[in-house]
Order: sequence, then C-alpha cells, then structure tokens
Amino acid sequence: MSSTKASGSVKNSAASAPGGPKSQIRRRAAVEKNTKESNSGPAGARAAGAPGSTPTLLKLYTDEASGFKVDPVVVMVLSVGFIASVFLLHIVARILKKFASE
Amino acid sequence: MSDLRFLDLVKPFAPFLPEIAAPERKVPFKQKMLWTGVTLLIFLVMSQVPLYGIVSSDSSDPLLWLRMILAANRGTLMELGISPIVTSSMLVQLLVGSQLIEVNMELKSDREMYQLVQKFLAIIIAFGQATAYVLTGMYGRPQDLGAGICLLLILQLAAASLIVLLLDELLQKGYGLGSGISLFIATINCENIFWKAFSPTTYHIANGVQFEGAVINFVYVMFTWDNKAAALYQAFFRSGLTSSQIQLPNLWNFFATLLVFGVVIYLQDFRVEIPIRSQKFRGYRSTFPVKLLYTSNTPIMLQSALTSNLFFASRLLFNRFSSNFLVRFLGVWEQTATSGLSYYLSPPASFQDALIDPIHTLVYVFFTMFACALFSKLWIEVSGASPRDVAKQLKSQQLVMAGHREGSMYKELKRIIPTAAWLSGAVVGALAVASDLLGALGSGTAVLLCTTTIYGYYEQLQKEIKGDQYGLPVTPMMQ
Repeated sequence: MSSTKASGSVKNSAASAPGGPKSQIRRRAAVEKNTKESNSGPAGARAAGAPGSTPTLLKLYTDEASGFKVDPVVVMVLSVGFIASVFLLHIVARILKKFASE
Repeated sequence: MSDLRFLDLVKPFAPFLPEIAAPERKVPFKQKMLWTGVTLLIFLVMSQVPLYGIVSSDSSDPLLWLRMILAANRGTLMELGISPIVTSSMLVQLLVGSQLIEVNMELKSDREMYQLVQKFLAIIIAFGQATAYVLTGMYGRPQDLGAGICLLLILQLAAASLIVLLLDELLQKGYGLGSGISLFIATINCENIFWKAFSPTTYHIANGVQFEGAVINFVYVMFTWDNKAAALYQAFFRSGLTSSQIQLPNLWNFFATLLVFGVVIYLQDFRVEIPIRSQKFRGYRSTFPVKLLYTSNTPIMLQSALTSNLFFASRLLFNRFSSNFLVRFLGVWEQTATSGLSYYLSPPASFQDALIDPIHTLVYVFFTMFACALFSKLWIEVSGASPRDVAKQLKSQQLVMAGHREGSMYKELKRIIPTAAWLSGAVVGALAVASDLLGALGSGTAVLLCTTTIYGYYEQLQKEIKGDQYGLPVTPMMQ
C-alpha cells in the first residue's frame, strides 16, 4: 500500500521536471518574466506607448537603441569645450594677425 | 523581393552613433528645469559665437525669413540651426509614409532602427548642408578662403549640428522638459518679437530718426508730434525702408501678433472628449480628450523644412545654371524668388502683394495647408499617436469607453483621431498663412511655433503641479 503510493510519486516526479510544485511556479514566473522583458516597450520615463507617456516631437528618442552611449554631463562638457575651442581659434587668429601687422 | 531592408543599411553604423543614456530613475522637476535651462543657454551661446574663418556675412541674406523657423543665425555656429534634424525627420517620414521604407512601429527593434536612421541621416545632411554653404561662397569665395579654412568651416558647422542633435535628445530622454527643437525655436522667436516691439535702436529715415521697436515708436511719436492723428497713423501703419533696407515694424504688426497668439490659445481648447471608465477603480469616470490641434506645431515645422530645402537647392542651381529652363522653372532669384516654383511657394511679402498676385497667394495657401495636413497624418503613425497606439495605451491601463463594449474603443478612436490629425495640420497651415498675410512680427509660421510651444510648456507645468493622480495617458501633445 504505502510502497505503491511511493512508487507512484516517484514516477510522477520523474515524468516532470525536477523539483516540486514551487519550483514549477518559479520556473513559469521566470519564463513569463523573460517573455515580458523581450516584448517590453521602449525604456525611459517618456517611453512611447507606456502608461502616462507623451510621444516626443519629431523622433522617438525613448528607446534604448544600440548606439554609442553618452552621459548627459559628457555632452554638456563637449558642447562647452567645442564653443571654447572656436573662441580660442578667434583669439589665436587675432594674435597672429597682430604679430603679422607688427 | 530581397530580404534586405532600408533600415538594415544603417545597422553597421549603429555602434558609432552617439546615444544619450536614459535616466535610470524619474528626474525630479527642478532638475529637469535645470537641464532645460543649461541646454538652452548652450544653444543661445552657440547662436552668438561667430564662425572662425569667414570673410564677412554682411551681404544680404536670401534665407532670412526662414531662419527664425529653423532657429538659425547667420554667420554663427548656428548657421544651420535645427535644419539638419528637421529635414532628416521630414525625409524619413515621407519615406515611411510612401511605403518606401517598411517600419513596424510596434516592434522594439524597428523603432530603434528608425531612430538610428533619423540620426544618421541628420548627421549626413549636416555635413552636406555645411559643405554646400561653404562651396557656394556664403562666407566668401572658396578660392579666397583656402582649402584649410573651408574644411574648418565645414567641421565647425557639422559639429555644432551634432551638438544640437544631442542636446535635443537629452531633453527628450527625460532629463528636461519637452523637446529641444521647440524650445530653441520658441526662444529665438520670443526674442525676435520682443525686440521688434520694444527695441530702443534707432534708424535714419528720409524724414528723420525712428525707433525700431513698434511700441517705443508709438509712445515717442505720440509725445513729440503735434498732429496726434498723423502720429497715430504713423505708429500703426508706418512703412518704407531704412537706409540699410530694413522694414521697420509697426503697431499693426504687433497687434496682429497678439491676435494670432490669442487665436491659437483659443483653439487649444477645441476637443472631442471620449468618456472613459476604469476597470480597476470602481466608480472612476473621466474623459480622454482628442484635441483639434492634435499634432500641435509638428506639421508646420516639417513643411518649413521642405520649403527651405527647396529654396536652398533652387538658389544654388540658379547661381550656377541660370539659363537652364528647368532651373528657372524651379525658381528665378534676385534678393528673393521672383518667379518659378520657389516664388509661388513663398509667402507674399505683404497684404498688398497678396492682392496684386492672387495666383501666387492661392498656390501658397493651398500648398501650405495640404503639406501640413499630409505631414500631420504621417506624423501620428510614426510617433505613437495613431488610433492603434492610443487604444493599446488605454487598454494597458484597463480603461474602457463608458457604456460601450471593450472592443469598441479602437473603432471609436479610429474614427476620431485621423480626422483630428489632418484637420490639425490644415488648421495649423491656415493659421500660419493668415499670420503672414496679417503681417505678424517675424513670420506667421514663427509666431505659430512660438505660441504652440509656450502653450505646451504651460500644460506641462500644470500637469506637474497637479500631479498625475491615476497615471492617465497624456493626450499625445507634441510640444
């Protein structure tokens, strides 16, 4: 009697994946999570189609494209650096012109 | 036939295109204001930094009336303004809309490729426009400048455009408020309108000295002229050019601007409200508004990009091949277009001119309205504001139409939104035309862009202050 039951349990376990009901639930949740991630919408607070979203003007910069990642602070520094370099060009040109005239 | 798609052509370049990292957490409002302010400051400084190497930019500017719309400033790092970005967006939308590019905006991968294409194209256009500007002698004859200076000029212009591109993306990724492009245009135009109204600069006229600012001039002539009636007439309708060929603004222009501003604000409240209820919160009821100005200022911006590129190409060709029939058909140029396609697509110089040449006026009006309506229709498909997108958005928040079955939300939206889109475009086009004919300060399009952008920011502030209680989807308002 008891041995028969034990045998049945063993067979059932063998038939399915290892682990008990909890493991199955956890595995299913993991699968769902992966599916959700792969199908997830665009990232970012202003993601198009996401709850409370606002589509942005002229282009959809809300997705994480596979571009070369740049930090906002770096962009600011680059901008200021570019402007400074143009100013520097003007200053150097003026100095050279002054020397040339002398 | 082939599996190769246009979008895939850009894939090899993807790793090299700069991409702003999205914020990992929601950026607090004050920080957004800071980012927006710093971005605007950088843009304004670039608008004032003169290009290194140019001989002079004193010659008359053939594209003057388009610069305000494209946030461009002659002879500075912002010579190109936002033109490369807007042109790129316009081209890609036309390609997608005409099915030359296949994009499934519901796929994440396609959306990413779409962005990359626009960015890549914007960079190419920036280099192309910069090269064209330099080689056509905009800054002096290339032979006089030398190869080194020419190359330096091209690099300066292209680098400036790239920076604007990144600043705009930075704001849109959520670090700032709204869109950089609208912000830049609105700021330039506010500055211009304010200056034309209140400028203390004086100019010499045939019969004396006059203030540039329309309001200042009004106050001045009312105090100093003995004949008050004549003074009032002069303040409202003064015309004639200064010695440097500048048309001084008058009070009529000023009030026309205020009128356009008022009309746009008034139209903002036109909407169709769809009653909705929540399946999550029992008893919750609200409305989802679909505005008349559904796509806001986007269509007029794209239409401006189209015409500005046409004019630029036409002028280039005319300078080189002025006797060619096709070139002359495209446009015959003096200071402005005097005949040909370019002439008919440019706004009449004044109300009197509009009456003198009615064919020109009619062609301009219908082209502007049609182009705006078309761009508006195309825009909702690529921006996630189409009926399908909105329906999906509402469904994801378990919002359904009150008193209807669940499946009817999409049908209802499909009936309303496309109409709102093309009507929005046509209305915006009509407003721009009316502004031009009324003589609003700057240009009609500029005033319109200015107004819609400011209103968009106002709405965002309101939403920020109230707080989004239920996380309702925001009406797809493009600032």
